[in-house]
Amino acid sequence: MTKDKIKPITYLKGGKMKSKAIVMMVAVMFLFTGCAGMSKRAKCACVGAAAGAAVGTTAGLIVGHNWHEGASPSQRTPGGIIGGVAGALIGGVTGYLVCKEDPKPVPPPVAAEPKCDKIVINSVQFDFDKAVIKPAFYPVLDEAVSELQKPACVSKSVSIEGHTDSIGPDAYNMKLGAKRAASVKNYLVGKGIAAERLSTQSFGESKPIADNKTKKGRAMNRRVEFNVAQ
Amino acid sequence: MPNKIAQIFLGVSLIISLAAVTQAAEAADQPNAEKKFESFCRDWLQLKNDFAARKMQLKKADQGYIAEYDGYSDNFSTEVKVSDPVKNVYVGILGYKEVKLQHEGKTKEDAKKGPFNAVIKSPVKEIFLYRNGKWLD
Repeated sequence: MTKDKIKPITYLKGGKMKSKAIVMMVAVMFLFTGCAGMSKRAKCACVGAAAGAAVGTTAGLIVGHNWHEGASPSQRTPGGIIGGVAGALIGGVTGYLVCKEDPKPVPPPVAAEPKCDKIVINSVQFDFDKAVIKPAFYPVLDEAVSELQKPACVSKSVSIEGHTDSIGPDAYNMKLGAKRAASVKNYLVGKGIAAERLSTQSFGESKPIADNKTKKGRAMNRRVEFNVAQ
Repeated sequence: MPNKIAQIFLGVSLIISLAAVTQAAEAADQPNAEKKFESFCRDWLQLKNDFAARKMQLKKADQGYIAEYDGYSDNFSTEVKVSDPVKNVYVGILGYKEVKLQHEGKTKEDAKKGPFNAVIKSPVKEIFLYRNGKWLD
């Protein structure tokens, strides 16, 4: 191979071949512009492929021209195409491997709406068969009032549920539970909780949380629960 | 007259001494109340959980049985507030979660044995009263 045979510029000046080279270059330019708007890694692969295609096409055209000196233009063309494809592949894979994906944006933390806890009062020990709250137990109810006045609870309706132990007939305990719930409601209203927020319900002895066979268990079962609508 | 002044002085001194003793007793009782509340709550939840486990139900599953019951979280928080410093009255707040406990096993007995997975249902606060040196249930 002699020096004067390597004439890529001259080659590009040729009629048909010149237009083919321009078409390939335009295709590479399209490839470049098509990379916009992709993720970081995809963009790297795309730009790598475009750059590889550009270099590969040029190299392919030069080599093809020089190898096929004296051959017809159609015989020279595959050099550019093969170079372009190989360059695009190598560039694309290299770009993909070199770049790392951008970390996914972390969505800003959504402030969870504060929940209003269910409240259970056990220490307000109604005497056996009574629904009158002893003043000694007011501090427990006062604490319940302050819980229900917290911002998370203040606009929510509350079901006051009265529970009894299993001593006595079911129907009687149902009434007793209702009376205890009503006593507690009256106390809360007296402390400033809006009556419209409060409803009462009795479960009597139907929902024990402890063994009714023991004294402690029965005491645990005599209770009032505040269920707050969430 | 000086005798009367002495009597008043003695009376005032007695009242101040009594107040100081009460304050000291309160200061001494609050840590005690807090300590007692911790173990009171542990026992309380244990009792409730034991009783809840008695209501365990068994369901047929694809590969055996699922045992489940509504219970309470093992983890809990406590807070003790002074209600009446003179009479040593405190209010205790026990915080825990109501949970659904489930365990799957090949046989009914395996399923009942656990360990149970807890799925949180709702947070609960129970309020208690401390009087006369003990937490009331």
